[in-house]
Amino acid sequence: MTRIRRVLLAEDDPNDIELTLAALAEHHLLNEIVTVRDGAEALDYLYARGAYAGRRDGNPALLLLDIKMPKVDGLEVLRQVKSDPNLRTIPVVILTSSREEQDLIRSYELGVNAYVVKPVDFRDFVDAVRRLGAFWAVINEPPPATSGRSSTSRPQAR
Amino acid sequence: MPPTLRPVGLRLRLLALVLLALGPALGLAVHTYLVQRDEERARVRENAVRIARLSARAQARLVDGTRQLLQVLATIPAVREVDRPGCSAFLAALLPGYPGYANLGVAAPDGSLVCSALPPPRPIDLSSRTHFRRAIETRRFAVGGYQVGWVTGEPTLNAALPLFDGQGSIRGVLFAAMRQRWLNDAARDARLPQGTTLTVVDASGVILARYPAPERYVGRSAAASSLFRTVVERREGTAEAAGPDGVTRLYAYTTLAADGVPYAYVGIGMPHVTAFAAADRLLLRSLATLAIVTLLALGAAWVGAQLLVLRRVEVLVRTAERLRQGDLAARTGLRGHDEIGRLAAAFDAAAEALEAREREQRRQEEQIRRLNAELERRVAVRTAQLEAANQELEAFAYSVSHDLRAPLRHLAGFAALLEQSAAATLDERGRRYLRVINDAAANMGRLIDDLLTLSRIGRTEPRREPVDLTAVVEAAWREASRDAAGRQVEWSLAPLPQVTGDPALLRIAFVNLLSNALKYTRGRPVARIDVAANGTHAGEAVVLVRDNGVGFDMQYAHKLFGVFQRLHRAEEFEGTGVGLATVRRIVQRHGGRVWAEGVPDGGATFFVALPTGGASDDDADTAGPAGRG
Repeated sequence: MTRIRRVLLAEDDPNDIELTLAALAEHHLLNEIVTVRDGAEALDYLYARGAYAGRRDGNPALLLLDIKMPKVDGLEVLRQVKSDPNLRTIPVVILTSSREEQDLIRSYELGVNAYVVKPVDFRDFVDAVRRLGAFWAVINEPPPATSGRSSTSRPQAR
Repeated sequence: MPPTLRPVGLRLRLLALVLLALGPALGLAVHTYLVQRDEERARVRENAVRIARLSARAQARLVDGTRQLLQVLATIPAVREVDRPGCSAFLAALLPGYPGYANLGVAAPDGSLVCSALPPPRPIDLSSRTHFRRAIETRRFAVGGYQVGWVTGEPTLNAALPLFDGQGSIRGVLFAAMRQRWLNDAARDARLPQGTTLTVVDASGVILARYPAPERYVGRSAAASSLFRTVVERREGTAEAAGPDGVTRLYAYTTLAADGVPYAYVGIGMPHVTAFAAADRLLLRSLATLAIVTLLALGAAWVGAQLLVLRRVEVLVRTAERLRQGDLAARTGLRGHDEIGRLAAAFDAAAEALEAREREQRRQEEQIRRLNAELERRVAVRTAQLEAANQELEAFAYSVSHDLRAPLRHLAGFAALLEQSAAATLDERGRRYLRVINDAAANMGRLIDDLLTLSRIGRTEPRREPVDLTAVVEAAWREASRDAAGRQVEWSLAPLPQVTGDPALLRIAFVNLLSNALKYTRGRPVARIDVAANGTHAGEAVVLVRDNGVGFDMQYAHKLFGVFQRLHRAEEFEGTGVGLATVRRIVQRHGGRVWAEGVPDGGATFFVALPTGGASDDDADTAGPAGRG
């Protein structure tokens, strides 16, 4: 299975981070995964500013977004990403506990690419991640690398 | 400006009333006047007769005078002896002294003229003359007929007196020719009213004398006229006839007779107009007076009507008009104990009541308005409260959705990781413990989901649209049967009726029912699940879901649909105990009913009754959560 190139994971709960990473690792899906702890940090990363000023390695191949985050929440990040011509092409998958209709509606209105509810059962979660990976890594054609930043992939063993 | 009143109707009626009241009096007056006139006329007639009689008497006096004269002359020897020459000379000398006579003379018994005051122009024979013959016959003074004097040519009335010799035989007849001109003079002197005629007619109807215009009538015969016949018959009286000149006159007549034998008739003719002029004038004057009095009475009634009645009626009408136009304070202000006064009082009372009622009505309207406003305010407050509560619930559900699930995931996730990484070091018991932890977490996740669903149903207003139940159940089956792969399941779906409701909610309900059916038939080698229509009745369609599973004891049927209520042990059949509560809530929100029948180990049948719809509900227009962004 080919690997997804760099993935940006925005998740504030450390346990959730650990679980997600474990699930992703089980299927050997990742080359590189960058974790940010809230929406502000996510935006800083995407815009290569603040703590990530000077980053030159281009847009991530996938953005995994939780909704409930401190400072700036997932929907706000989604909005900004989808309204910025430089960032619009990044596929965004919202990965959240909430099945609330209002979150669904708002997310799709803002142009989310996929909305996945994290199952409670870990095995189900791992299965969902596998399928996500199958889709994004195999089936989906990633957007061509554009923008002013060159993208290089560095195979990185775990 | 109130419209000018023209109460002609009432005024006319009042005038008619006055006339009616006057009627008898008027009638009596008219009658009296007529009676008076008739009396007057009778008096006139009597007067006329009296005048006729007077005239007759005058004539009679003349005749009487003539008789006396003749009797005196009869004593004169010259006459008595019938001495021709001497008698003529004597008579001739006498005649001028009696201007009333045209002639005096004597005739022989055979009628030949013996002597006369006027020399006869020719031999005269008197034998045929009435007066002569009658004198011979009666041997007394007689008056004869009309005769034209042979010398003067004027009309005369002749009288004769027989002369007797010593033996009593008639020696001769002494005659006198009476002039009639005296009548004219007398009539003139009598000053008879304008147009009155005086006529003297002899026994045969020849007019002896007439006033006025004697020359036209004297000598003519009136024998042919019916008046003459009446006169002859009745001898005295009055008659009304048209005279020879065509003028209708009142005639009063009387008879001149000598020794009972009429020799002349005297008639006074007064023109109708003149005769009854006074009477008619009197009548007219009376009638005129009556008319004036009546008019005055009517005039007084006219004015009186206005003052006494109509003015007040006008006030009533104007007040009514003011009332109609909305001035409820309008009052007549009329007083009095008569009918109009009472009418006005009743009217005012009615207006008073009307005003009071309107005030009351306004007050009540005001009260209603205030109550309405109060109600609106309260409703607004309540709505705000409800909305606030709803929003709190929303936030709560949201929070539950997110925040309760996260630790659960961690629980389950790390338990699984632990199981993975420590599988080698854990014994069977440890592994079992982990499994329990996992299962518990999964269970709680499901419970949270179900509770969230249940609460969402309560929070939103279900849609009301036509729902194809068959399609809904098919979709529900697809979802519910996902976990039944590998099992032997026979299921049937009969065509279901159309109902009115929310397709999404109904799908959830049937997913629950079908999941239950699948769950409780797990022990059967072949699970049999049937979904069918059970009739439509009184706007409700009933659908049943039947399974051949473990069934339940009807004793506990009432607990079936309670939240967290379970009739089976958890280790036999997992479940949150929320599914059927969800079904019931969904169905109830649709205005339907749900109930179940079961036999322990004999399967169960769940019945759902839903409204077939048609009736639209206005509150169905509130959008569900889809409307909220």
